[in-house]
Amino acid sequence: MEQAEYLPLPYFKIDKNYDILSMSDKSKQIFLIGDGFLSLIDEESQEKAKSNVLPSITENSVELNLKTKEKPLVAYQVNVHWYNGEGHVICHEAPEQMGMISGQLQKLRDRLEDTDFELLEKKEELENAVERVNRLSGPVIPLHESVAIVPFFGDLLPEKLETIKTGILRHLHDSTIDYLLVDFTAVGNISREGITKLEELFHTIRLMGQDIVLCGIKPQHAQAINNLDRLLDAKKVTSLSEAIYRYIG
Amino acid sequence: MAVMTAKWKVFADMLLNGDEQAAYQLVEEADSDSLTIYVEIMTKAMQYIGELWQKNRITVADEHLATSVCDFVLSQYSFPFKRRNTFSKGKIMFLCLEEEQHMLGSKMAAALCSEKGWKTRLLGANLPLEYALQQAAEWEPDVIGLSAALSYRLPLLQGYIDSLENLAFRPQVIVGGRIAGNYNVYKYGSEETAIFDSLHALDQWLDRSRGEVEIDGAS
Ligand code: B12
Repeated sequence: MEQAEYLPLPYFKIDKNYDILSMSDKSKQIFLIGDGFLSLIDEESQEKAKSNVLPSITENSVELNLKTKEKPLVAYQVNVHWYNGEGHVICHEAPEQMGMISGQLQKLRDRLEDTDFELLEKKEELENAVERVNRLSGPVIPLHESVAIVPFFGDLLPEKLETIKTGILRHLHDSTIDYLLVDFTAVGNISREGITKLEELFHTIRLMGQDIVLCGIKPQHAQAINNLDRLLDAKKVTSLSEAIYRYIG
Repeated sequence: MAVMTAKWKVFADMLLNGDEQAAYQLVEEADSDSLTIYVEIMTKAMQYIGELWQKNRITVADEHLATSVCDFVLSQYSFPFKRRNTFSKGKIMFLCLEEEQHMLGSKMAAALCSEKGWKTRLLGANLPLEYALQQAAEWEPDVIGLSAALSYRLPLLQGYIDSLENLAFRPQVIVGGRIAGNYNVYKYGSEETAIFDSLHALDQWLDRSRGEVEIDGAS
C-alpha cells in the first residue's frame, strides 16, 4: 500500500511468519515493537493471535492484548485482511468508554452495597435502642413487701406495652406482692391498640392474683381508662402520693 | 439418561446473557457450601468465559457484562455473612494491587472470611500502596490479603509485601489471585508471607491459624 505510514491508525503489513514488512507511523508511535508482529502481543494472547491471524483466514477480526509504550497490556481490536500472502493489519483500541462505564457501575454497586449494610446496622442499633427505651418505660419498683409501683413513661404503644408486660410478669412471678400501683402521671398518648394491650396486661396480672391500683390518670386518659376500669374493676386513686399513703402508710 | 451440563457452564451462559435472576437462583438452589459455590461454580464460569475470549467467541464487552452479573450474584449471596462478625476471630483486609481491576477473586476470599467469623474489610480493586498502608495503619488488621491477576503486576508485589509486613503491628501478609496460581510468587515474598494458589488453601489456613475447625456455615 502506498503511503501507509500516514494512515491515522496503527497499521502493519506482515507475512505469514509474522515478520513486519511495513507499518504506519502511528504503529511506531504507540507500540513497543521488538522482533516481528508477535513481539507486541501479550504472552497470554499469543495463541489467540496465532490461530486467528493467518493466511488461511482471509478476513478476520480479533481482540488481542497488546503492549504499548504507555501500558504493558491494552485490549485492542485487530482487523486482518490477507492478500497475495501479505497480511494487512489495523489495530484500534477496544472502546475505552465501555471500560469506564463498567468501572463506574462497579463503584455504584459497591456504594449501594455499603449503604445497604450501613442501613442494616443502623436499623439494628435503632431497634436495640427502642427496645431499651421501652424496657425502661415501665420499671417495676418494689415499695414494700406487698406493694410495688410501675410508673409508665411516654406514649403507650403496643410494642412498648409488650416489652413492659414481659418485665412486669417476670417480676410478679414468685413475688409476695398483692398490690401493683400503676402510675400514669408521665404518660403521653394512649393509642387504641395500646388500650387493648393494657387490657390484656391487666387481665394477666389479675389472673396472677394481684390487685391493680391505677393512679395519676389525667383527664385525657380518663375516658379510655374508664372503659378498662369497668372491665377490670380496678381500684383508682387520684394521685401517686395518695396511693402510696393509702397502701403503705 | 440425559447428560447434565456442568453447573458452572450453565452459570456462565446466564452471566453472558445478563440474566442475574437465573444466575442467583442457580446458586441459591445449588445446595452446596460457599467454598464450592465460589470455586466450582463462579470461578470456573469466569475462567470458561476467559477461554471463550481466547477462542474469539466473545469480546471484552461480554466479559464486562459477565463480571457485573457475577459480582451482583456474589454480593447478594454473601450479604448475610457480613453481619456474623460480632465475636470475631480476627481482622482481615483484602485489596488488589494498583491498576489491578480483577477483583472478583478477592471478593470471594473476603466473603469466605466473613462467613467464618472474621471481621473483614474489602478495599477492592486498584489500591495504590500508599492507601493500602494508610488503611492498614488505621485499622490494624491481623491479616492482609493481596490479590493480583495481571502478570505484569508481579514486580510490584515485592514492594507491597515488604512495606506491609514492616508495619509496626506486624500483620501477616497473604497473597492470592491468578498470579499465585500461575507464577512463581515466592521470590517476591519473605519467609513470613503466605501464598495461596486457591481458595481451598486459604480456607484450610484460616481454620488452622485460629485453631478453629468447627465453624458454622462454610467448611
Ligand atoms: C473477567 C476478566 C476481566 C474483567 C475483570 C473485572 C473484575 N472486576 O474482576 C475485565 C473485563 C474488567 C478485565 C479487564 C482486563 N483484563 Co481480564 N480477564 C478476566 C478473566 C476472563 C476472568 C477473571 C476472573 O474473574 N476470574 C475468576 C476469579 C474468581 O478468579 P481469581 O481471580 O483467580 O480468584 C480465585 C483465586 O485466585 C482466589 N483469590 C483471588 N484473590 C485472592 C487473594 C487472596 C489473598 C487469596 C488467599 C485468594 C485469592 O480466589 C478466587 C477463588 O477461586 C481472565 C481470564 C482468566 N482465565 O482468568 C482475564 C485476564 C485475567 N484479563 C487479562 C487482561 C489482559 C485484561 C486487560 C488488561 C485487557 C482486557 N482484556 O480488557 C484488562 C485489564 C484491567 C486491569 N487494569 O486490571 C488477561 C491477563 C493476561 C496477563 N498477561 O496477565 C487474562 C488472563 C485474559 C487473557 N488470557 O488474556 N478482565
